[in-house]
Amino acid sequence: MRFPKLAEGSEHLVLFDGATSEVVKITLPRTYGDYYEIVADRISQFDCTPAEYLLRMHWWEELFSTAPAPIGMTESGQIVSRQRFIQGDPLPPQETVDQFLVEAGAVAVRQSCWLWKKVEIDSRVEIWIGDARSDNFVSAAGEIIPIDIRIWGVPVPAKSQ
Amino acid sequence: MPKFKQEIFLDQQTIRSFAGVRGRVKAAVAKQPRSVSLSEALAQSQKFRAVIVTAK
Repeated sequence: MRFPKLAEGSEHLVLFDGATSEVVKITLPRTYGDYYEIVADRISQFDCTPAEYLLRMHWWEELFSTAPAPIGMTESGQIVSRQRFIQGDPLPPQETVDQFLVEAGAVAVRQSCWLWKKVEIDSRVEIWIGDARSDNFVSAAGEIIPIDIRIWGVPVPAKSQ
Repeated sequence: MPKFKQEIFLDQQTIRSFAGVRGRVKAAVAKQPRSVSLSEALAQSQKFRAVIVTAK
C-alpha cells in the first residue's frame, strides 16, 4: 500500500488515503509525543510513552471527537493511526482557538505557550491540553476543529479528610 | 512525575463538561465533504506550510 505524503511534523509522518479521504499518521521512530509540566515556574517538556500516546487519542476522542483512531504498530514500534481529513481554513486566528478552549471550560496555564488545563471539582485528574496552537486546528462550518492536539492527565492528590 | 498511573478513564463529569464543544465539533465535521481529493488535501497542506514559513 502506498500513500502520498502530506506533511511531516515533529511527531508524525502524515500520508493521505484518497480512497477514504483520511490521513494516515505514523509516529516518527522512538517518538510518541510530549507532555509539559511547570517546573520552577518554567515549562518543561517530557517524552510520552506509547501508552500515553494511545491515551491521548482516547481522551481526545472522548472530549472533542475527531481523534485519530490507532490501527496498529510497525515492526519498529511506530504507531499508525487514521483520521478523517478536515477541509477548511488551516490557520484560524489564535484568539478563536483560545475562545474555543475557554468554551470547553479550560483555563490557560500559559496562554502564550499554548498550554491549557481543565479542572473539575472532585475529579481525580486534571486534563491538560498542550500545543493548542492555531495551526493544530482547522476552521470549518463556523467551528473550530482540533486536528492535532496533545492531551494528558495529571492526577489530583486526594483531599485529606 | 508519573502522570497517568491508574487514571486511565476520565470522570463522567469531565466528559459531560466537554459535551457542548464536542457536539459542535461533531456537527461541523458532519458538514464536511464526504470526499476530498489529493490535490485539495495537498493545497490545504501547502497553504498551511506557507503560512507557517511566512509566520517565522
